[in-house]
Formats: sequence, structure tokens, C-alpha cells
Amino acid sequence: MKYCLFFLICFTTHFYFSQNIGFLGRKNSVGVGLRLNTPFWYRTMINHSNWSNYGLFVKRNGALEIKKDFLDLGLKVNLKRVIARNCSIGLEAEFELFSTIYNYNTSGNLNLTETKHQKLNFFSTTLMPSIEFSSRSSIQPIGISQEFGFGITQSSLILKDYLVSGVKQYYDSNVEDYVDKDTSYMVSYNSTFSDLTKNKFHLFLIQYAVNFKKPLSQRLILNYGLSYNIRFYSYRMRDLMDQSKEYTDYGVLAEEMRKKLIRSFMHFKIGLSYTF
Amino acid sequence: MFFNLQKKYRNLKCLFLIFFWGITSLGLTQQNFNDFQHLKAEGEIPNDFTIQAYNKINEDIKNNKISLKGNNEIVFLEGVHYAINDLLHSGMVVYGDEVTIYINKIADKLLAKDTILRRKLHFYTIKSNETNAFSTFQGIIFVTTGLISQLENEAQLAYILSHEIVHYTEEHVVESFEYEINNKYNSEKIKSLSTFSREHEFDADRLGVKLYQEAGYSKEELVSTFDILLYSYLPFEEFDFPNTYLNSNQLKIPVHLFPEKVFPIDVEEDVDDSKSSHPNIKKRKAAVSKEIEKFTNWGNEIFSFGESDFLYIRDICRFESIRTDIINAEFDNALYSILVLEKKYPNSIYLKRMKAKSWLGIAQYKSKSSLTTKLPNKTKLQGQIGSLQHVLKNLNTLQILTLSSRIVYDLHKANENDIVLNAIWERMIKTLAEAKFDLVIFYKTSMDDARNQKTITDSINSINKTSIETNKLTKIKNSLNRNIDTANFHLYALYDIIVDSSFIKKLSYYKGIFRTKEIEKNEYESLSYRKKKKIEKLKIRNTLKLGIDTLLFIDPLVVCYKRDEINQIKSEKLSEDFNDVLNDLGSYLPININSLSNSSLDEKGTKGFNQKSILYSYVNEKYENEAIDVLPTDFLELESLSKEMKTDKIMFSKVETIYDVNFKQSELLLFPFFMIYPIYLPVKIYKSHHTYLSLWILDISNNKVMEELTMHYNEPLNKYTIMNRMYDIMKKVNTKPSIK
Repeated sequence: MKYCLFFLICFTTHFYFSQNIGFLGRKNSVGVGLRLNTPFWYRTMINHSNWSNYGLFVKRNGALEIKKDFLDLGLKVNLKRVIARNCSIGLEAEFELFSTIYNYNTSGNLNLTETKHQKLNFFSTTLMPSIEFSSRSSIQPIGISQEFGFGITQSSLILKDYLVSGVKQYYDSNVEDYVDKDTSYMVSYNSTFSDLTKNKFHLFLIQYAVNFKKPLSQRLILNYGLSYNIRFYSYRMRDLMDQSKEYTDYGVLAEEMRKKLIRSFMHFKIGLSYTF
Repeated sequence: MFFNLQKKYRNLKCLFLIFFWGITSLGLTQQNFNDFQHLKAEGEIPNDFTIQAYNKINEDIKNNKISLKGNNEIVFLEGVHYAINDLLHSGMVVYGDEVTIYINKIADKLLAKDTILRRKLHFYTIKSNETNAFSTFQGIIFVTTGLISQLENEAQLAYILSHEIVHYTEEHVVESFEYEINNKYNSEKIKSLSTFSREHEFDADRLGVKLYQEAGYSKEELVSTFDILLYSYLPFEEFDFPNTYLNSNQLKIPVHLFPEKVFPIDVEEDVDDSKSSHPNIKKRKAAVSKEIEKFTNWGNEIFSFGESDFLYIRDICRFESIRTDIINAEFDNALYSILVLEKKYPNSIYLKRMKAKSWLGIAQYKSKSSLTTKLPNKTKLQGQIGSLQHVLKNLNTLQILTLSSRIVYDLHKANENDIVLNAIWERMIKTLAEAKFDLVIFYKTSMDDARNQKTITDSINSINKTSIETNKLTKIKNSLNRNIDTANFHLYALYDIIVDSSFIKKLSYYKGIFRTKEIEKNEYESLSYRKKKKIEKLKIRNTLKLGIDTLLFIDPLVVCYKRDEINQIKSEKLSEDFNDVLNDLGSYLPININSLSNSSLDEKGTKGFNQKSILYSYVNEKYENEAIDVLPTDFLELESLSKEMKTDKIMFSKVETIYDVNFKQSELLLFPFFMIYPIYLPVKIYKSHHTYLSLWILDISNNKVMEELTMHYNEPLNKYTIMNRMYDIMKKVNTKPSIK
């Protein structure tokens, strides 16, 4: 705690002006905005053959078609209070919808080749207290500021009819092997995930953001900026996961979701704040 | 700080929009010259003053007013409209006053046959001692008070107006601009531009003669107008400056301090004009003389509206010129003009006030050892005024302080109920106290009494001893001369003042104040580093904390730079926003904000316009006299203004904003760390917005600058960012300073 206080004092050098803080004297603000995550960034920047030019399969015209995975959308709501001329604290809730690939090799009675899995959607909710600092000459909540946050993300799969398509294989006793028979086989395989919605997994989140805030009226402020997110889990959290299904459908899926979250390290955000 | 208006407009860089007359430097209540009131705008405020420049530009573009097209049209219109709007709102221009009405009457006469043209032209007066008149693309013709004060008759003024009208009708402004654009890459640009400009002047001189002749004015006054121009650098009259002018019963200045003879006037008609925008006088006179011969039906009018009317208007301008001289700290010119006007108006309290004010200024500058900067170089002394300047240069600090005190004291004693003279005397005592004026050295007897009693103990005594040896006639002669020709003449000059108890009391009071300040300064110097640091921190903490409840804002100004140029339209719109912000802030703050701005002139009218002009003059005077603790020339008006506005605290503010993004080579080296770019670049771009907010808070009551500072922010500017900054500033201004 004492370190937190020290940190706060170091960055807020203008405490003595505190009677003038806020936007036109208003210290509180409630904001709502969009968070845009572009997987394009990490897919093109990280030189990984599996990830480059990667797309997701979406259902279109009764078939699964590949589509570039450009954007994940999220909604954020925050409540902030200016505590010093260039410092404010806040509580932020983020609701994000991610889509990820599911490439688990289907087995059992589904013997398919040329498999296409429809993208899986999962929903993440983040709750994050944050602290925001601006330069000495700025007056919170206007201008450029740097935000640090530490929170927890809870993610769970959205259950719906996910499809898999491919060429169905049947066992041909004549040749004593599997042969392609049904060339346009498509089946919902949501039952595979039915038990997964009960299982939610958590990740810690450290966020660093640069915010640009421009007043639009005497009450409204336009916010935009970029944020870097580092998501991680502790060994303790990992233990809480169902270890027995590490290499089962669920295990693979959870890993994909975690990967997606961890890789979604950079966001562009834009929103409006109402000061009061 | 940031408001030297006269200099700003004197140096208007708008060669392409203004045509000078060519002189290097023009039914109301009648003026009572004994209690002269300086020129003020009267009547309804003209549209030229209330319409914003960007609206004027849009109107001109809509009406296809000029032949220029595209970017050139925009550049030209922005140049002309913003420069002239700035001049109109500088506080130097007046409308509806007696002088402007008189100029308009002459214009009516000149354009009696062309009513369409007459309706297009607007005439205004500029309160400036420059001898000048100029016309603009918009059809506004300005005449300075300095020009009218130099003229001898109405006909001369009529010719000058004719000349300027021709500049307008012949569209010389647009032609010059086009010429400049087309000769952008001409290696001898200045020379060719000068030639082109001189041709325009010859045209205006020539065609002006026709207009003048048609109005029935006398041809005899045409050429003499150019002589007025030639000698315009001298005062408006060349009256004798007698050696006894500064003498009184108590003080006689030795003759040897005056020049032996009047300085010669040295000016040439035929100067090299190859790089000048105007032809030399000799050529202009010759060209006009030739033109005169082309006309036969010459009239003989010199004063079509009566000589007395002209002289009355000229006297207004001459009185006004004294005020302008004092504001510009040109006390020698003011004193010489007072000498001229005193002959006609010996009982004018205005002249007495101005005389006292001039001597106060001279004493203040001399005590700061900077009077020489306000006087011309010895080699440049010319004419009768040169004698006055010569004396002022020859007197030492003690002599100047004594002479000034004597004159101001006499004026104050003769008019004890005059508030202005009382204030000037009070400030004189303060000046003496600051200069550590020691009364002990002064004799308690007058020079005449000392001579009569023959009890003189100083150098006068020694002079007496030498003169005893001479004959009777020489003795009498020496005795007569002695009182005006001694080294310590000034020591006898204050014999009655140094025994005046109220003077002694006030002098001691001010000396006490200065002594206390000195002690405090010494105490501070002796403090330890830590304690000094503590005091400095307290000062920083108390920055802008002035405990002000009501504040008067003058012309909040925004200047947006686009590369090396000013984005005029954006600047004007943001300035309007700035003014709106101040009105809106009233609901957020306990501080009461009044504002006087260009955009509020529609609402405030002529009264607001005049109030703004007085404040601009005051600021200009303060700026011109930074070295001294100036007593405002318009201090009575300032007092009534502060009563009306319920505050004596005024604030000038200016916001300058520029977007300037520069990447250093070292920043490009960061490329390998490409991951930082998504953050680094937007921050870099955002931080390239530089906004400088300058503030100047003045207390009119004690003529002190309460706060003067410039703040720098890295944020883009819009109405609400200005509002937030001003909220922050006003909140602090309203807060009382903390003691610990």
C-alpha cells in the first residue's frame, strides 16, 4: 500500500491545485465506448506460417466460407473520478466478443477430411480498476494521459450451433480403409461444447493505455486511444482448470481461447464520457 | 508584453493593400479647448467595425468583387480584410466624431457629381501623429490627426483626399498585388515594385488634381501641399522657443544651457527615390505643376466650409497630438506643441495637465537614466524644437528633477482642486522619493533674496567675490545675470516647496515605503538557500491567486499558425469562441466576468468601442513606458470606466496555437522496436500541438501589472479546451493567495 501511495504522489505533482481539478470543476465522469481489437496485427507481425493469412470460417449461403479475421469488438463502460490535477482513478468494465479458430481433429464417428470448423465465439468480461496520469501541464480529464490498470478477465464460450463441414469418410471393407463418400457433409457439433459453457476460465490482465481526450461540449468528452493488454494466468489458476481435459476437446478449445486473449494485446478504443 | 498596437499598425505589412498619401509619416457638441476631451467615436457604430472579416471575405467572393481567381483571390482578400479589421479595432480609429464628419463633408464636396462612388467610400480618422492618409481596397480612407494638424487649409486636405480617392477608383491595391505575384521571381523585385508603386503615385497625383479642380478649390494650394509633406517631420508650427520659457520667479535656467543659435532645418526635395514607394517631392511638384496647366477653369476656394471650421478641426487634432505624444513618451514634442497652443489657449486646464504630465515623464525617465533614449541624437536636432531638446539633454538628473518638481508644483498649486494635477504632483513626489531626492542640499531662500541679502555661501558666493573687483556697470550686469547663469541655479528653485509640510510629509511617507522595500530585499538576500527556496515555492504556489471577484476581459484573442502564416479565418472564429467561453464561464464561477471584444461590439455599441479604445491607449502607454511607473494619461476616464464595470482589474489574453510535427533522426532509429510505434506516433503527433496562453492582468487603480505569464500546453485547441483552461485560471484568480 505504501508503495502505491508513493507512486501516486510521485506522479501527481500538483496536488496543491486540487481545488481546480476536473473538467469545468466536474470531477466525475461516466463513459461508454468501443474497443476494437485487430488480430490482423499479430497475425501479420508474428512470422508464423500457421497464423499468416489466417482466416476464420463463417456460415454464408449455407456453406462455410473463409473470411479474414480483422476485428474483434468490445464494449467498455467506465466510471472515473479525478483526484488530483493530473491524476484520476476509475473502474472499468469491458465486454468483448472474440472469435477463434477451432481446429481440433474431429474423431469418433465424424471421420472427415478437408475439415472446416466454423469460428467459435466467446465472451470475455473484464473488471479493472485503473489509474490515469497526465502530464504536468494537462488538466484531467482533458488532454493526453497514460492509464495503468490491473484486472481480471472471465471468458466463456457462447453456445450455439457451430458447424463443421468436410468430406465424410466411411469405412470401406472392400479396401479395408476409409474412403470419401459425402463431399458436402455439414453437421452441427454444439453437443461437443455443451458442457463447456459451465466452465469459465479466468485470466489476469495488466493494461497500459494512452488516451486522448477532447471535449466536445460542456459535458461530453471524446476519448480515443490505444491500449496494450497483457493477459496471463497464474499456476494456481491453471490448477483450477480441468486438468483431466487438458488434451480433450475442452482442453484444446480453452487453450485456443487463452491464446486468442493473450495475443489480443493491442486495442484501439473510442468512446464518449459524460462529466458530472 | 504582447500589445504594442501602435507599432503593430505602424508596420503593417500590407504594401499591396494600402496606398499612402506619400507623407512619410489624417452637429456635435463643440470642443471646449480649455477643458479638452480627446477624440471619441460617436453615433451608431458602422458595419465596417462590426462585421467579422470572414463574413466580409465571403461577401466579396460571392459578389466577384475582384478579378483575381483561386488561391490568389483568397490570399488577397484575407490580407486586406484582416489587416484593416485589426486596424479598425486597434483603438486608434474613430468614427462619427467632429474630425471624421469634417473629412466626410469635404469628401461630399469632392464627389458631389459621383454619388455612386461617394456611397462606396467610408472615411475615418486615425489618432496618430504620423502625417499620413491611405485608402484601402474596401473603399475605406483613413486620415491621421497628425496630417490634419500639419495642414494650413481645407484645400490641402481636399487634395490629399482626392489623391486617395484616385488610388481607390484606379484599383491600385489590386494592381500592386497582381504585379507582386507576377514578379515573384524577378531578381530586381524591390526596384521594379518601387517603380511600379511610384507610377501609381504619379497617377493619383495627376488624377487627384482633376477631382480637386472640379470641386472648385484654388490651384494655389496644390503645390504647397507637398511642402507640408516635406516638413512634416517637424512640429506643426515653428514658433520661437525663448530662453526664458522654462523660467519662473523661483527658477531661472542659465543661458549657456541653451544653444547659441537655432538649429538649421536641413531637408532636401530631390532625394534618391529609386528604392522608395513614393517619388521625391521635387518630381511630384513638377508633375502636379504640369497637370495644373492642363486645366483652365480654376476655382478660388480655400475654405469652402469656413476658415474658422478648419482651424477648429485642426486645433482638435493638435490637442489630440499632445495626448498621442505623451502616450508614446515623446515628451519633447508634447512640450513644444503645448508651447504653441498655450499662446492661443492660455487658460486651458488640459494643456496644464499635459504639461505637468510631460514634466513628470521627463523626471521619471531622467531618474532612470533613460531620458536620452527618448530624445533625438544631438546631430539630428533641427529647428526651434531642437533648442528644447538641447536644454533637456544638457540638464543633469538633479536639475531635471528640480525643474520638473518646480513646474508641476506651480501648476498643482495654481489649480489645487484639479484631480489630475493633484495625482501628477503625488506621482512626482513618489518619483522624487524613489530617486532618493535629498532636501538638505536645497537653499531655503530664493535666488533673488539670496542676492539681495548677500548671504550666499556656495559657489554663488565665490562668483560674487570675483565680481566685487569690477566696476559698477559690470557689477550690475553680473548681478542681473548671476541669477540665471550659475552652476547651482537649481538649488534655489525649491525654497518654498521644501518648507511645505504636506510635501515633506508625503515625501517622507514614500521614502519610508521605498526604504522598507529595500530592507525586505536585503533581508531576503541574507536568507539561507533553504528559506529562499521555500519563499520561491510559496510564490509559485500563489501564482495567479489574486483574490479577484470581478474582472474585465479585453479582446480575448486567438492566433492559429499554419506553417509560417496565420490562419486568419480559424483565428477569428476561435477568438469569437473565446469570447463566448467567457460569457459561459460566468455560470460556473463565483467570479464576475465582463468582456469587451470585437465580437461583442454589436451589443456594446459605441460606448463599448470607446471604452475599449481607452483601454488600448492605456496598455499602449504602459508598454511604451515600461521603464517607468507611468501615470495613465486617460486616468480620469479609466477611473469612471472601472466604476462602471465595478472592477479595476483588467485582463488581456492571447492564445497562440501551432501544429508543428518534427521527427528527429534519432526517432527513426527506433524503427527496430516497431511495437512502440503504435503508441509513440500518436503521442508524438498529439504533442506536436503547441498552445501558448499569455495573460496580462492589470490593476488600473494603482497601475500595477498584477500578473504576467505565458503557459504552454501540448493540446489541440477548440472552444472547450479554451474554456477548461480559462476555468482553471479564473478559479485561481478568484482564490486568495495563501500566506504559508
